[in-house]
Amino acid sequence: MTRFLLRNAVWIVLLFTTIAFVAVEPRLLSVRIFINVLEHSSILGILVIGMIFCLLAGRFDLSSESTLGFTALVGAWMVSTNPFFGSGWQLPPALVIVLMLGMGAGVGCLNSFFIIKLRVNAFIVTLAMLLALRGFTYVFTNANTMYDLPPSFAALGGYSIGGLLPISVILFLSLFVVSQFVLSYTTFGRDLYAIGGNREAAFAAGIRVDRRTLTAFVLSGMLGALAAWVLAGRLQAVTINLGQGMVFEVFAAAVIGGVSLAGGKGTMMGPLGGVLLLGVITTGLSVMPISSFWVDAVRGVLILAAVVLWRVTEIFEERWRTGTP
Amino acid sequence: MADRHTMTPAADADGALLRVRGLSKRFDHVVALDGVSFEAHGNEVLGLVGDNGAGKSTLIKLVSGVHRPNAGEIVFADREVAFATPRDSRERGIEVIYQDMALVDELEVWENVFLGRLLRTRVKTIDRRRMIAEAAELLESLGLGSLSPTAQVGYLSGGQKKAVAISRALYWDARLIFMDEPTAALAVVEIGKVLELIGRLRETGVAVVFVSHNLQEIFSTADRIMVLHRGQLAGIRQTGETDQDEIIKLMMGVR
Repeated sequence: MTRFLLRNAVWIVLLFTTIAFVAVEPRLLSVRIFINVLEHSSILGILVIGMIFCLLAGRFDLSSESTLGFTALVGAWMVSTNPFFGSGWQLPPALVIVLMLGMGAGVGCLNSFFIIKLRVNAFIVTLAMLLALRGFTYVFTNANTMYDLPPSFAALGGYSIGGLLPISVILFLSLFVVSQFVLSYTTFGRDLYAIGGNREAAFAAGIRVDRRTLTAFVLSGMLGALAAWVLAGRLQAVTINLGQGMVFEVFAAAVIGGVSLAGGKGTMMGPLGGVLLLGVITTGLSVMPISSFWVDAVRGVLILAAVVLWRVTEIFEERWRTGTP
Repeated sequence: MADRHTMTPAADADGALLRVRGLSKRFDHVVALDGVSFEAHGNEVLGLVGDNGAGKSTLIKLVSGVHRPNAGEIVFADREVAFATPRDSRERGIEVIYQDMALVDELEVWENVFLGRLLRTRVKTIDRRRMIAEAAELLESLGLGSLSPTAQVGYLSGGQKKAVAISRALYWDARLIFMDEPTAALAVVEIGKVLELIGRLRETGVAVVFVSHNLQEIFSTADRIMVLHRGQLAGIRQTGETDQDEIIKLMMGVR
């Protein structure tokens, strides 16, 4: 029982945080706001899934927010019906979506080429990719915003079933369920744990370490492109700074959810709690009667508190398992 | 999935399962192995000894595909092989029990036993239940029934970890097993179990290459003893026709 509570600490923190916000501001307790939090969490959630694949394999992908920004912009440029800002090509949305996912996969391939073949540190490679892609995004558009996306392109991010339940929410929640299944029940998922836990051992046991790592980065890139599609649809326009600064929250959600930065440890469901916790904190603070200057500071402190709490529970669990008092 | 129970150790005319000729490996300017030739046979335990840095581990890593040799040929079961990765060598029936054990601490016992070769169901998901059951059976047959297949490896004792590493090599009915210091850091009772196991493996027709610092263990277990000195083959002796003094001299490079 104690162990169950410790393992799911993030959900307990989420519950109490929600109760605390609602106690201060009862109007927060509504289905509409609840769905709003879910909808705003969907982008972060999709990026976090990609990050977890890489983290479990003992790597990082800092670049996914820029992949999001870049693919969103190039996609919007190709699909836009606006002759002033777009390419004027007005490519079919389905084709553009495939191209966007392809670009995301391409970024993943490029990242893993440098990391696996040239053995450059993943942190440096993906940090450089983060900056380079953001730079290309600026160069490509002269800092213009892309408008006039066809309705079928924008549907994934913009449409709600019955005007209430956004497709993006269903998509992001089912992606978490699917990827948890992948981690628990496929050789790919299990191999990631082995690689992140002990890369030499995984290799010696015959696991295709390079191929698995490549797949993790490609998935991360493609999920970045998928998030781009969702976000472009929701906003009905693409600005140059889309996704900027999200890498911090991606890491925070993963770590709050119990994913080890050292690799080999974590689940998808924990970080889902982390994503929702960040969503609740952001939404809650935005309606609190405090200066917006405080929002980032409070958010940072709360994240730190959550991470410390998680670490404490982990220490307790270790003691519990080894039987030391 | 490899077909366990169907592989039987094959051997060529004079019984050599593994033939190594002129195997060499350099790391930068350090010559780790220099023109080593030897043979290993089924139904035989080949003791491999040498001082630290003599090239024992390098030899194992070359034959199992962890490293690629700079020169030399490896013939396994009558076919010249050039394993690119350990995956290739495992598929041909070569297992290695590494000195540092090559286990993943974060994972449970059963998953370490099946590491790199997880059993799958018909729908291609991993067959957790079957692997746990098979791991339990395997541990039981090794006299380790007290070790739970769902225990996390990071919390096991050195002896238990070694048992897990050995179980992994045994499950797949390997034809050639390298054991790099399998008795190091073990309690006396556990050492006895490992040596007994090596003897049993020999009876089943497997070729065992047994690395140890302990000459007493080597003399009590090995049929032949191969000595490396600074990357070169110092000599191979029949256990019955040599003694510890000669082996030690070979290990030290004294002619």
